[in-house]
Amino acid sequence: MMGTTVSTNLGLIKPDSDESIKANMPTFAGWAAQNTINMDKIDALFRATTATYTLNWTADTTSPTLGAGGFTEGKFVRLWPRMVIGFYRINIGGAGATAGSGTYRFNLPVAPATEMTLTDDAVPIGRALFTDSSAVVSSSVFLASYRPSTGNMFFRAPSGAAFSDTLPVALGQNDTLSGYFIYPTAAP
Amino acid sequence: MVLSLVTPIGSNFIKDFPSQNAVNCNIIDAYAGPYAIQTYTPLLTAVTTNPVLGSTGTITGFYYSIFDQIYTWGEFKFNGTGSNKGAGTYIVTLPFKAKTVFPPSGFSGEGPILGSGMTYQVSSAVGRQPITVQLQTANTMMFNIKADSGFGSRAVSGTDIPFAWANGDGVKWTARYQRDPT
Repeated sequence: MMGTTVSTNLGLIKPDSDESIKANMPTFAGWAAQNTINMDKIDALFRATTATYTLNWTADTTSPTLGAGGFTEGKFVRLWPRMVIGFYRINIGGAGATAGSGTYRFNLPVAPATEMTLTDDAVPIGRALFTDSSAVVSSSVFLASYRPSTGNMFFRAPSGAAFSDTLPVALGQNDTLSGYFIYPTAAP
Repeated sequence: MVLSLVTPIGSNFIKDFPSQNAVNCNIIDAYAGPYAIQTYTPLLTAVTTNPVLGSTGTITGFYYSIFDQIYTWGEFKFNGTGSNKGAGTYIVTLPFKAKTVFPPSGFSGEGPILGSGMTYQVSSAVGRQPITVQLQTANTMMFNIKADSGFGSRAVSGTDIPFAWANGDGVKWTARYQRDPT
């Protein structure tokens, strides 16, 4: 009896003794092709890709506006098949900056796994540093959380308040935010 | 971690190859782990008196394994009749035993930090505070929160830290660590 079995997780092909010595034929892939499939699956497992993404800064009510010299940036590493590690930075900028209103939202580069859902609509995914350019004492370390209902990331200050135009302090020109996130993605 | 893959050589290469290839495939397969997100049921206890989540209280855990790295998240929440906050530092089980290159500790701030999370107080945003996740033993984690005063940290516990626990309150966490295969 000739045939193959496959491994549980990756589906790697395991030909039996007869199957392994069969040549490639029009109707049968043969071991050479089967081995190629295995190698490609293993190779894909160890892929790591890096990329930049456009970090969008919005808010529940009115989106804020970056001022002169302000910028947002995001970079991430994807460890295949399902892990994402990202870094981001925001500089509010100077003249023309507006704080908007409501809890701030930030997009993620790749959709998190659908299982990233806990009650109360918040799943911790990282940390961030908020720097108040006008008062060092108001600077703070935030908890970064994923909100499944909006598909966005938001932040909580140690006070428990969600990061917004007024909390934990009124946002000012040239304030900055930088942080990281780690989460599993949906199945590739 | 060493995979110890088999390398067939010599005159018996063709004869031995199928079984050796199967061994290699299974080793790589086990190391890679499942693509799917897995669930587990964490166990919540406390150092002094174990808490009771209540008739409709919940505790949920998920994990994703990439090679021997475990990414886990979850939450517990008190609710319903019979809930009791217990007393002492809260302790929650991990999905798998962790390597203890850095020794775990039951003292707040002494063990390795695996991740972050938050306490969740349903009645007030003031109780939704960031926490760190600490390896308490090779199989369990505990949670640290900034002290109300001073510069230290303290453990989240049933003894009203950081607040008097009530129905609807709980803890959410995310942690990452290296699995100990033993």
